[in-house]
Amino acid sequence: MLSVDPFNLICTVVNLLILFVALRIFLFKPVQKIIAERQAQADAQLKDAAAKQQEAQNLKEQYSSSLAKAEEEKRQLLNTARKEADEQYQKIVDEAKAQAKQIEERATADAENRKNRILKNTEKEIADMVVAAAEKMVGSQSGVKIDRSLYDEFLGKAGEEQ
Amino acid sequence: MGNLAEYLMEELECETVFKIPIRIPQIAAYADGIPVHESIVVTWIIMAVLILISIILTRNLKVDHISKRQAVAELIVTRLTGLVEGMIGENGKAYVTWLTTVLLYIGVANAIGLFGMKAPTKDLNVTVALAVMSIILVEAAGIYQLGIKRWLHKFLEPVAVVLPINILELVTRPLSLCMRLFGNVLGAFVIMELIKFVVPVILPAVLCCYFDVFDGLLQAYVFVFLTSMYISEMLETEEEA
Repeated sequence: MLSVDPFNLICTVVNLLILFVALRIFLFKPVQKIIAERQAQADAQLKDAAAKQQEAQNLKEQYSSSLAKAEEEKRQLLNTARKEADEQYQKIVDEAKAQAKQIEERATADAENRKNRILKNTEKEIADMVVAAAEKMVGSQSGVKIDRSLYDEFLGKAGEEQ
Repeated sequence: MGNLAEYLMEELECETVFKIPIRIPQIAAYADGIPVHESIVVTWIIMAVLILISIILTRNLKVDHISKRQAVAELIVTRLTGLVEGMIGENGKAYVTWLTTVLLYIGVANAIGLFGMKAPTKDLNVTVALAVMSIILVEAAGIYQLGIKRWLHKFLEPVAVVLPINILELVTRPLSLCMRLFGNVLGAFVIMELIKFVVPVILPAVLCCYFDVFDGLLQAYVFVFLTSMYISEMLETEEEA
């Protein structure tokens, strides 16, 4: 019972070593390999997901920044457009004012001319009338008195007109 | 009573299953051919069963959509190696596979009484072999990790006076490992035989669960725990230095 048999002892040692190697080949190595593979896969997936998230974050930032830029651009465009429109408006109004002034001046000058012409015509007509009247008067009644009064009157009228 | 004693002695005797027909007349024990003990044959059966189960469980492993078989294989491997790793710590990862093999072997060997075979660990040769291999592993780990000089110096730690005790430990450690396992299994066996003799029904079935399964697995755990403790003790000094 308590005897130690060298052959059986060595046999057990050899058995244990064989069992160790066999279990290592058939049990531990394959299972550990597959677990390591799974771990690697999971790690890769996690890394991938993190990278994708980072990418999405970058895109989001890019979008928001470009959106802000567009907003800014829009505001600038609106500003310049408004300014231009203002200038245009001012120019048109100024032009219109100038034109109106020109028209007014021309009209005034025209009216003046016409007035002068009418006055001249009237003067001429009056002179004719006077001459005609004088002729009539000369033709019907003669005398120094009449001549004299006629000239006086004429001269007086002429003087008034001058 | 004489009957019982005879019966017990007979049961305790390591049976020789067969003899290898090589006669060595110079050695008395081998004069009639080399005897092969029952424990060796049972060990072969255990080996065959363990290897067969491993091969069946690890057939076409996949990374995902695993089969139930693979799940069982992974559970066994991760649980057992996790258990051993917990005992030995991060430094001793290289020794985990060996210790797990020993754990599996002693566990199955102790519980094989359930299948009507005699536990190989009841044979002193087996426990001696296990203990000798454990102490060789411990010292080899020391030499490998520390180098021969520091390994030798470890016998003088913590003080030079303990040198004889440290040298003695080279013998007492495997001796205690070997005798603890052997004594437990043998004791359990003797008690079971006695109980079977006194109360042949029901009670043996209940106690068998305790002695063969619980105590057997506990002894396997203790054996591996102590071995890994010795190894981690060996490796720990390396970190402190």
